[in-house]
Amino acid sequence: MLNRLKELRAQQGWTQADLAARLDVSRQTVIAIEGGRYDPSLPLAFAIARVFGLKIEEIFTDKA
Amino acid sequence: MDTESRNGWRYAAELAGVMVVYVAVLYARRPLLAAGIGEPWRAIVLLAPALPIWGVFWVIIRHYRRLDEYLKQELLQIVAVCAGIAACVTSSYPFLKDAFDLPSMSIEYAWNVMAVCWLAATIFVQLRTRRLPAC
Repeated sequence: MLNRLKELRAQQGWTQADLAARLDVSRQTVIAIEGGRYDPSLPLAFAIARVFGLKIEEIFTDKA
Repeated sequence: MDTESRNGWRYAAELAGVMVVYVAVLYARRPLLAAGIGEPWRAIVLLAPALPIWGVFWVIIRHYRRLDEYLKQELLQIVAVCAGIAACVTSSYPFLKDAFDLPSMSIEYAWNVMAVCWLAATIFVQLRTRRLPAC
């Protein structure tokens, strides 16, 4: 799964730690999602979408 | 201090606490056993160090429950790899023992084997998830 997390975070001017705090997850989790090494669960994907005020499909897309 | 650091410190403090209890029990039972206490107290004192070992398990479960979903997945990978390595090591040892005339090992070495396997599994998983720089 591809995502725009890094780009969206940069637009907001947030650090990885800022985003992690807003999502109530570890910074390691944010790093892993941004690096494409971890696909978040559906509840976490909804939380990410809520934080950025977007729909899940505007942040995450299928690789195909 | 953020949640991640707080959880890390809490885990380290709880683990250190249990290990201090373990060492204290090991030393405290010596004079009791030397004094020649009778049954059933002797059996209870002999068994006492097992309780802090169960405490280590309890501390790890508490730590696991505090982790977020990614770190939970990573810890489960470490436990799985650790179990695999430990199973291979303990299953291979009888053959190594025969081949190289090594001494028989007591089950008391299980703790040491698990600790080394846990360390190896942590390094292996973190190299794979690129949390540690590859050599």
